[in-house]
Amino acid sequence: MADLTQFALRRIGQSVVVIWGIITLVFLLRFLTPQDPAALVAPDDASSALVDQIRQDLGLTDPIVIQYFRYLADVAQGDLGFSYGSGVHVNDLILGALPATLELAFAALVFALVISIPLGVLSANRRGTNTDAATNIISLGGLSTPNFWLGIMLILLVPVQLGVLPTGGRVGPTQDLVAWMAHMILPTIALGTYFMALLFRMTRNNVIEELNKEYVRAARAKGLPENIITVRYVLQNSMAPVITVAGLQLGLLIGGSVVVEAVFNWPGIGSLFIQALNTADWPIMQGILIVVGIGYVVINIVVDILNAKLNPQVSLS
Amino acid sequence: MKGLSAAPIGATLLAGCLGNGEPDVEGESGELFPDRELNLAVAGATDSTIDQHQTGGIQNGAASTLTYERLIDRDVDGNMQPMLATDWGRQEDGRFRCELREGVSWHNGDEFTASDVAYSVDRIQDPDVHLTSDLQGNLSGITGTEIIDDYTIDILSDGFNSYVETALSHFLGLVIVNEDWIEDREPDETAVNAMGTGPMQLVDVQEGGVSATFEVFDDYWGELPEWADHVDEVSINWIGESSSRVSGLRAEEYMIAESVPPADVPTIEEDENLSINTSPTSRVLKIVMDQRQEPWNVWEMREAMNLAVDQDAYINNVMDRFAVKSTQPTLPQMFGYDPDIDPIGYDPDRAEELIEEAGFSGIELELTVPTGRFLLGEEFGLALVDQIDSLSNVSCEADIVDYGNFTDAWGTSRPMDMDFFIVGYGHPSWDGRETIQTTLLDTDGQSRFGENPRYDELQDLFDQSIRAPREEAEELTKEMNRLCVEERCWVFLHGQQALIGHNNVLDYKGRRDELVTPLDSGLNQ
Repeated sequence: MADLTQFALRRIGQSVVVIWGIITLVFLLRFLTPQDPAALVAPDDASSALVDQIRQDLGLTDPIVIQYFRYLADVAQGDLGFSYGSGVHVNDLILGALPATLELAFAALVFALVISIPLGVLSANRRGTNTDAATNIISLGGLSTPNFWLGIMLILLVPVQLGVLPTGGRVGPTQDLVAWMAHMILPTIALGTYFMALLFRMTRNNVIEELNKEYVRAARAKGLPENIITVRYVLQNSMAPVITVAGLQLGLLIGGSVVVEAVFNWPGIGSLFIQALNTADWPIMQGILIVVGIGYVVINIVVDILNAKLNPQVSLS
Repeated sequence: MKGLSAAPIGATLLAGCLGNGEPDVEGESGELFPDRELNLAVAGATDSTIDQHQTGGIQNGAASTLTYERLIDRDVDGNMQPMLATDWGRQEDGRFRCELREGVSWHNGDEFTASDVAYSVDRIQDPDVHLTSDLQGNLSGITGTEIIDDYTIDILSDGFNSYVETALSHFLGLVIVNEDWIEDREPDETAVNAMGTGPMQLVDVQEGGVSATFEVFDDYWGELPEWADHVDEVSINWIGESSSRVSGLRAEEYMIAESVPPADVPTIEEDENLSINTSPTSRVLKIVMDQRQEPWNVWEMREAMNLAVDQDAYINNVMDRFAVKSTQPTLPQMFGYDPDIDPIGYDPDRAEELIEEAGFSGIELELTVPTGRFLLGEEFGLALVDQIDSLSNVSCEADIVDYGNFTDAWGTSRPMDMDFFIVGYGHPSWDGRETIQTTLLDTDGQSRFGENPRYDELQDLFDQSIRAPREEAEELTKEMNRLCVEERCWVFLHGQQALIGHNNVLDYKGRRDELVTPLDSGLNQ
């Protein structure tokens, strides 16, 4: 237990350095563009005196080192600044949009797991059959289809041609449960298909590997039914890496939802990011990058710790 | 949003027509609009605020005009109509009196009075009240107000100013806000809330430019649109992805979809339940030639580029029907347009001669073509490059850049190497002087006209027009247009058309100021 605590503390310590790197990178990114934030805040026809005044108010006339440490201190205190466009606190904007993104990412993850694991097991158990071939083709399609294209095709096929399900938008589950589910289906499929295909491949390969092991042969020799062998022994032993990857994918799903959110007009941080990009609203973009970066780091730590706890083969050193 | 149970409007329309011969636009549920919602899909928001004093973005107008009002309205053809002012007129030079409508209620029940108007002017104009309103420049010349009584106010200007009517009447001009409501709130609260006098009351905003939902304001002072009886909510959905807008329209989730890509027009026209509305916008497209440097400080070169461009060819072959030939800075529907100005015409032989005479034979040009902003921007940009490149003594290449990067370079650093580029400018003022002021008289502005020897003359005409009565101002604006054409201030291209897809339940009326709104629409029944 003491080893695990030390392991966790060590990983957290490493993560602090990574997060500091993310914040520094995000701060420096703004200086790569020629845009003057003061000019963005000022009206189109503002006098140069007014732009100068705004520049001073925003602290942009300070040396870059001062600006950097001020930014670092603000972020360390959880203050991501204010939107150039609206003056709204970036924390509020992100907190307002994050639930929708997390909701979609979790739904996509659940979709991916629910489809991929049974299919992977089925495919592995029926290796070389038509079922195996069909599921492999589906997997290949899922891996090679860009999610934005899939999203557009789904919209054209389902709501436009078949007249069912909405083309986009989000309804909160507390507002109308049925409408919430209806709005979730297509974006979830669009976002989750790639991960479903990925996890399917992992599951299939792991199950095949386990099925070839001695203990499976011994179990069969003892006369245990095939479904008991599969579910109770093979599946359990082959799931650890799948669950680890699935956990790590959650971070990718959050980051990868940007395009899907745009296609489905989903009010998450992806849509917020694109809108900020279009209006050069740097504080929002920086805030989202930091939040997503920190989220990814945290998920990694949690997965590592869980893995270390659950899998005795993981070396805590 | 459309619910699962919503009956397709098209099917019910058809069913209604088959019954007794009388068109019946009501669905099986007895509703014209699914779930009694009228949803609009407009192009992505240009600002992350719905505080109309903080944004100059046209796309935000779809939402703000539902809830905020002005003293004077414009109908679909641009004619001034009473709104919060019932009567108006100039008392003397520098004093423009507005008689305000009585019995107007704000959405929170407050009474609208002259102090709200005074506050609105101050909030836009006075740095002590509101430092950075994007609308400051749109109230050009207005210096303040004087309240005569609760329902009479004088708008003060620096002497006679014929621009006042313009500033009071367009949706990016003097938008009236509720003084008490604003003063009780921080700017970040007013960015995501609204309190107006308009026919729709804001009930919800999904922040980050996603959507805004309104409900009908039952105590509205004016006549509500015909469809208001059939609708509980109106939502504005800002959707940057054009295919999503069109799909939503085809699935009958959206009643109106802005900026339909031309490629989708046939699909929509084939659908018996949908139509395309095409109307001219205020956006004029041109090629800017930076007159601060060679070769564009030479008149012959500017003339040659105009002669090298075959407007008819690219408008017919590339733009299909979605452009109107431009002959001057002002578009036909605007104040100050001069119908007597002829197109410069297409004469490549003469263009080659002029280039030779100017000593630039063999010149290599690079035309910057921004993409992602203007209708068929890349397509017509490349056509223009081909036309210019086909001159025997010029080679021309395209520099295709994303519009965001284009504006970065253009708006901040203004590099000298981007001296020849396509850009469009639009403004809902219905006044040609606005375009001339912003694009030609602002020396940092779009046309870099400041180095032209006749800049002072143009400025003088503009100043005179502001001080002149409206009829005289119109003549002076025409004169400004003639001067700009004489100087070949731009390569004149075209006025952009708006392509709005709409469901046939609505009798959609396209506006010429780029505002997408259901407020002018009736019902097809």
